[in-house]
This record gives sequence, C-alpha cells and structure tokens, in this order.
Amino acid sequence: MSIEFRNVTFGYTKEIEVLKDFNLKIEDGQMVSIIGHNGSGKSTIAKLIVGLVEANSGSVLIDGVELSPENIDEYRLKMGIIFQNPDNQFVGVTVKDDIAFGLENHNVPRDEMIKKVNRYAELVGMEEFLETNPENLSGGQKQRVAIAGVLAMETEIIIFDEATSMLDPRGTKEIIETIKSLKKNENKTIIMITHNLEEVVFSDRVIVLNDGKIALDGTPREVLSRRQILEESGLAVIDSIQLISEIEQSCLPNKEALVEALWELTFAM
Amino acid sequence: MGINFRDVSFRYNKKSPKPTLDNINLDINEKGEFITILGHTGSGKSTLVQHMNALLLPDFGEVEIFGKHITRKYKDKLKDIRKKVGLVFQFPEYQLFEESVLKDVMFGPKNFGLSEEEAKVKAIEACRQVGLSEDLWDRSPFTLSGGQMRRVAIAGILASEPDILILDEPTVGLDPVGKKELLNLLEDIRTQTGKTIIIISHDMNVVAKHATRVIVLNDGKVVYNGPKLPLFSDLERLASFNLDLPDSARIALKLKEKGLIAFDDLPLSLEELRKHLDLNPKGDSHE
Repeated sequence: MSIEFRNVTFGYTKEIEVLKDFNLKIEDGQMVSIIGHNGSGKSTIAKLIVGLVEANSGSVLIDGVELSPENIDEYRLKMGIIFQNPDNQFVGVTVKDDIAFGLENHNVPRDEMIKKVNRYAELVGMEEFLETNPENLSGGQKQRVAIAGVLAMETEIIIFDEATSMLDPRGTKEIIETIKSLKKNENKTIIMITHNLEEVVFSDRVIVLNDGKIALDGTPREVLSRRQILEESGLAVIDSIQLISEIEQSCLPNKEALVEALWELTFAM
Repeated sequence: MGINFRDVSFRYNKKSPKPTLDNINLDINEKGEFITILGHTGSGKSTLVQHMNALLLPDFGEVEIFGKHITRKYKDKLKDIRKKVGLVFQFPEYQLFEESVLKDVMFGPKNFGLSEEEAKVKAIEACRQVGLSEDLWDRSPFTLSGGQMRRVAIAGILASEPDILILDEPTVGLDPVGKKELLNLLEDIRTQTGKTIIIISHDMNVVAKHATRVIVLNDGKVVYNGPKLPLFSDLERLASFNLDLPDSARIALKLKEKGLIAFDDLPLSLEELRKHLDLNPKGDSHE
C-alpha cells in the first residue's frame, strides 16, 4: 500500500505547527526510515497515517484514497503500529494469548488463529515462550511479542514508532534483526521511526526530519554522507560516519581504502 | 569509608536454590570514582545497587556503608545511610508526584529533616545544577518532556547532597542529545564535587568514555572488577560475559584486520582512534 501526504499542515495547538505544507510519498512495499530529534515531527507523521490525529489542512492518502472520518476505521485494519514502551502493550497472561488478542477481536476461527499465532511467534523467534507470562520477558522479547501480535493481523502497513528506544543494545539488536527478516520475507510497506542513525542502514530509503521539514531524503548511504546536515538536524552522528567525513577531508595516502572499509563497517552494524 | 561488601549473598525467594547475589566482595571509594556496572538482564545488577543504600539487606555477610555495618539483623535507622548514598531508579520520572518541579525536588531534603526554607535553597541549587531553567520550577513535572522529567528526578536526589550517587540505567529512553547532556552532567558532578558516581549501563560507548572502573556481574557473581582497557582488550573473555565492544574499538579492530592501521593498545575513543589514523580533526569536530 502506498502512503501519501499532500500539503499537510498539523499542529497540536493553534500556535505551533508541527508540520507545515508537508509532502511525502511512500511507495508500496518500500521500507522507509524517518529519523529526527525529539519534537522534529516524526511521530506526528505516524499518528496522521493511522488516524490518531487529523490534519488541519491537506490530505493523507492510502493507495490514492484520502483518509476521512468515514473510512478511517476500514483503513486502520490495514495498518499495524508498534509503540515505544514494551510494558504498555500487554493484555494477555501468556505470550500466546497476547499474540492472539487482535485475532480474537476480529472473530478469527480458532484453528486459523492457532496457526497464525504459531507462525508469527516463530517469525520473531519467540516460539519457545508461548506459555510464558509476558511480565517475565526481557524488553527485547516483549517487543518481539508485540510485533508478532501486529503481524498476526496481517496488515499491509507496519509502523515501528521508536520501538527500540527503551531497550538495551541487545534488545535493540533483536528488534533490528526481526525487522530485517520482515523486510526480506514479507511484502509490506514498513515505516521505521527512530532517532538512532545506526538503525536506518538497511532501509530502502531514509528521510531526515527537522522542524517538520524534510532535511534529507535518499538511500542510507546518500543520507549518511551528509554529516553536516545530520548534525544540524540534531542527530548524534555515529563514530564511523564522523571518521568517514574527516578522512575524506584529509590528505591521508590510503584514504580511499579507509573510507570504503568504514562504509562496509557501517552497513554491517 | 565508602561502601564495602564482605561475602554478601542474597536471594529474593529464600527457598530458591540459586542466589541473586552470590558471595560478593567489593570495595567502593567514597570519592572520585565513575563506576559502571555491566551484566545482562537478570545478572543481579539492580539487586547489587539496592544493597548499597540498604534498601535490601544481605542474607549472609555484611555491607559496610560509611562505617555502618549492615547485616541481615540490622535494626537501626536507615535515614543516615539513605542520605549519604543516593539511588536513582530506572525511569525515575514515573515516581514524580508533587504539583510543581520545585516541590518535588524539595521532598528529599525535607524528608531528611531540613526546614521548608532550607530545603528550598537546596532544591534551587540542585535544579540549577541539572540545568532546569527557572521558568520550569513552578510547572507541574508532568507537563515536561521525558528528558526534563528525568532531570527533575535526579535533582531530587542531588538536593539531599549524597556522597555517592547511584543511577540505574539513567540514559535509557532518552534521545541522543538528552543522553549526552545527562552523561556530561554526571561527569561534571564528579569533577566538581568529587562524588563517586555509579551507573548501571548496557552502553559500551558510555563505559568507554566515562568509566574509571568497570564491574561485571554474571549469575550474581562479580566476574570482573577493574579498569576498562584490559576488559575490552580480552575479546574472548568479553564474549564469555556477553558484552560488546565500544564502536571505536570495533572500528579500530576492523581497520587493523585490513592492514589499514596499527596499534598496541586498543583505542576506546574516537580521539584515540584519530591519533592512530594520523587524523587531525579540523575545528568543525562535533566533540
């Protein structure tokens, strides 16, 4: 499913506009990372897509159809969202119940439900924990269960709204690996909202937001090459990118080999 | 003085065969240390720090905290200890409760016996120290951003003027700028007041940049207690602890493997790595 913003303006209060005359088109099946500092407007974009807030003017289109109060419920069924805090998204007493929750709400027949729960628990690597109480899981494991619950709904759009920001590095790695395998194995439109540069390298496209405007839009390598704009956008530049930028400006004899090695390393993180 | 663990063991469930802390021996100086405690989820890190201000009492052994001998049977008042050793929990912003920022920060010093006036003076000082500007003091803490709320919570502990400051994963959930500011704040507190800072962290870049000493816990035991360089240089041992390298060290090893640089001591920071690369950053460096 494609997603399009046409001249969208939005503010939580009248005085402050988070997005102003904002335009963006995300193609069907694309994996797009949207990155920006706190308050840059990145989470607002997610809220507009799933209809948690409504644009003051302009329109949001899904597959060319403008979202409206009349059709939002229908379109919401085609979108899944994973939030920041793994502890705030649990309803079941076991992992199995939790993954099945959305399916139960949609009256999915029991046999089909069991199949789906098993399939998606396996896809996120939690098949051994089906009978576990989610409270006893690590942060990364909890988020993987939340992802399985959203996947089980088999929506065409999945949004990760800072899904790693409350996890430790190990949990973050688990989630990144899960998203990578999703990208590879499922044909979905994936939007990842984050403030960590190292998480965007495997996207098809990276969009940097600053004060509600698109500061950069391109492939990960194109975007990461623009160190200065990244810094101006309030992002913490990772060490390898910092070094690439410094080496390119230096007169070191082996600078090309160094830069290539550093790019290779950046994409292997 | 400071905090000394002698043969400390602890279990939450007294019937459990495996203790959460298993025969811990550890000395923490009162002044000048920046200690990071590492270990995977469930290794006992939070339990260990809760013994450092007697929130938990050991089942066996004793913890000596500023001259007070804390054992299973300790019955005296714990107020003095809590004042000397300040502990900031994970996501401390969830524990804010007062109607204004300043009142929330004043709660600690008032609880430790200061008058309203005295507590206010300490609270204002602490708010300034953590960089909460005056226009925020009368606001409800719940209208602030996550990073600001965390500063309020830390100010609340600082206002009681502890000698040792312990923080359980203080940077989790903050954005990169908020994270950097908070760590710089802790570093400033240490250099300006000489207070020992102890943090639980999972972030090896933080360890590489700030730690003067690293303690690694595994299954409730102290498996490493010492400076950071030997820990990060021993890759086999690091992997056995399930720990990663800091970014700079990882980059350095990769470049060495490709024959692009040479070094004896593993570089743990961007500055050290630059030296090995003969790189002189121009004035526009972001450090």
